[in-house]
Amino acid sequence: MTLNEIETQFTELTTSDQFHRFEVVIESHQRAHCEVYSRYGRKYLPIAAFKHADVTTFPISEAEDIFMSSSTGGNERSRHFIRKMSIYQDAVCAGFESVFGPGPFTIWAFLPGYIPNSSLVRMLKILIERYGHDNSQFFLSDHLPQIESHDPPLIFFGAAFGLLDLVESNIYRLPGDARIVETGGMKTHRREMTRAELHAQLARGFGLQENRIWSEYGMCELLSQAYAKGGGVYYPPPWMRVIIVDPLNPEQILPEGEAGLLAITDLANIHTVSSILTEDLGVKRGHGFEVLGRFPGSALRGCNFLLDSG
Amino acid sequence: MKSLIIGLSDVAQLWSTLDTYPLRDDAVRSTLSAPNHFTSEAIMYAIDQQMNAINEATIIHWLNDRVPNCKHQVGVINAGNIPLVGLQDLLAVILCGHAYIGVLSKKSPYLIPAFCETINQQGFDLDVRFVEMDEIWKQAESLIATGSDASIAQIQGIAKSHGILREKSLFRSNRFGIAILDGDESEDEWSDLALDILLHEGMGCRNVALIFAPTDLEPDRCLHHLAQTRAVFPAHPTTSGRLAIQQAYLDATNQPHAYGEGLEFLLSKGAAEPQSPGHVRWVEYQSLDEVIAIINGLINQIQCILASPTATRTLPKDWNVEPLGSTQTPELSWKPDGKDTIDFLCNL
Repeated sequence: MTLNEIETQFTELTTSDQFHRFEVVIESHQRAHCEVYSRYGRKYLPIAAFKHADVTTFPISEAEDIFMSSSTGGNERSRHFIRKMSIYQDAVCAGFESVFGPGPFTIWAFLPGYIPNSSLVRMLKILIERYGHDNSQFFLSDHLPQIESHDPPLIFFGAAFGLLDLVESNIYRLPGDARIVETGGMKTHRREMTRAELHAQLARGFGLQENRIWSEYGMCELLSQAYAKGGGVYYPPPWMRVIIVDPLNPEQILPEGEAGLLAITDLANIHTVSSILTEDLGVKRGHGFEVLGRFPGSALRGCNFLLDSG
Repeated sequence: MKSLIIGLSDVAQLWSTLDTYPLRDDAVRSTLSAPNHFTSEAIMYAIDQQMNAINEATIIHWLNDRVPNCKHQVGVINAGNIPLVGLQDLLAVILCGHAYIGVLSKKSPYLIPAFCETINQQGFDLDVRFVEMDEIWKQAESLIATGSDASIAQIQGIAKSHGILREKSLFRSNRFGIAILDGDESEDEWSDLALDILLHEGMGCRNVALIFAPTDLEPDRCLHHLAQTRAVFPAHPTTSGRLAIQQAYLDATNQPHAYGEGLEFLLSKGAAEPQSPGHVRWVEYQSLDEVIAIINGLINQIQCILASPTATRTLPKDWNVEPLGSTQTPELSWKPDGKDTIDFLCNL
């Protein structure tokens, strides 16, 4: 199995054996060619490495694109050097299609404050281009675009805080088959709201059933996305594996139901590092996972009943 | 009330570690085998400090003649990163005459019940119950809890669904202490700072996570005192493994850092970003204005600000700056997150 074969076949894998075979080849390549990963010497590279170093297996001058994270509180931004945009497109489209189907759809994107080279903006451009009907668009005002009865079903992507702002100032009535896909983004704006409360508020504000409020879990440092089809449990695509690890000892895997950090292996990250230790707290739920919120290392300081109850 | 104050004072005397006291000693032994990161030295230090803070004068000063209007069932969710961490809440609830319904921390489930048992052995009949988490929602009318932003949001949602109003809840989330140096610190103050960093493996909400130092000050003396302090307060056996992962990361990303023999502590230079427990960040500053701006940005996470008396004189007057060495010796009347627990309990 060569890297070239993996690049073209990773979205087609179906079994854990295949995953493992791909993973071994990719990890060996990354250990040999990514200096940071090689020096780190452990499986899951802390996500902050994308801020502090050039996490690549290739010269950064050869990058086709650079994804940048949002910056909070004046902190540095993460930079994800993209060796081949085609790999990202394949991951985004295969993941989307397995959840939503082949389309076409009316796709709206409401991402106020997002920089053009954020991975989310890049992702939605790809989705609109590939699956979007003519009426698909990015918009920034609180006047929603018009939707006609003969338009294909609406998928409305939006950052959580942006969508909340919309429904706090207006009440909308979207078609009953519409789906809202909130993409997270609660960390700096609404610290005291659970995902369930968020979804209930969005459902009321857009005139939809709560099961029409879906979620996407993605980030600048990962090329693949997981989706939750209503409720709070995300399911990764077959080429992405999520485990929960002890925040105090990330080499310790936690059993289902215990809260810990999400450690993710995304085989689409072929040319950077595939196995990432996030700063998100989560819980394993069957084949999926739930995200409980942001949890940087400093959150281990002081008391915390959520971790204590484990 | 007067008899309870005297009784608590007497129990604090019994529990001070100068003599053996069977109930306390049994609880300490059991605590050492609980799933936590406590060392015997740190447990004894925590007990001593907390018992020293309890006497008739400090209790009367703390209560300051405040009394609640009526009795409430107060739920307290204890989540202990340091031994006896919920003691102040327990004392506040019983001194205010409320019923205490506590969820014990899995890390420290023995010390608080043993302390209550000692009080009852003095002839009191405390209205104190220890329950499982599910039970607290059935019994409590108000709530005290501490957590991260993510977990506070979860618990607020649950509390709300069980009819516990926001104004009857005291949520705390501040997570770490900071120290501001001016370079003129004495050897004793460096030694105090080392305690502020290392005690309880850096896991307490008052432990120092960030040290602000003038650019021409190198951390050599700090490292020297960290090593010396480890001779008195040895690291928990799990600390070096935990820090090894962080050290490997700092090494891989070329971030300047230093560590003690056997990885018993870790210090790195860099931006003012608090790290995991046991890993302290040394942040260089050129002017105090920079420090003030950074601290204002982190203010909702900072539990305490420490500085020497000379450095304190240069800091904003409205900051509550405490002396170096005081992180694990707060007064009985200290206000976690700046919120007065007695005020909260008197206004339910």
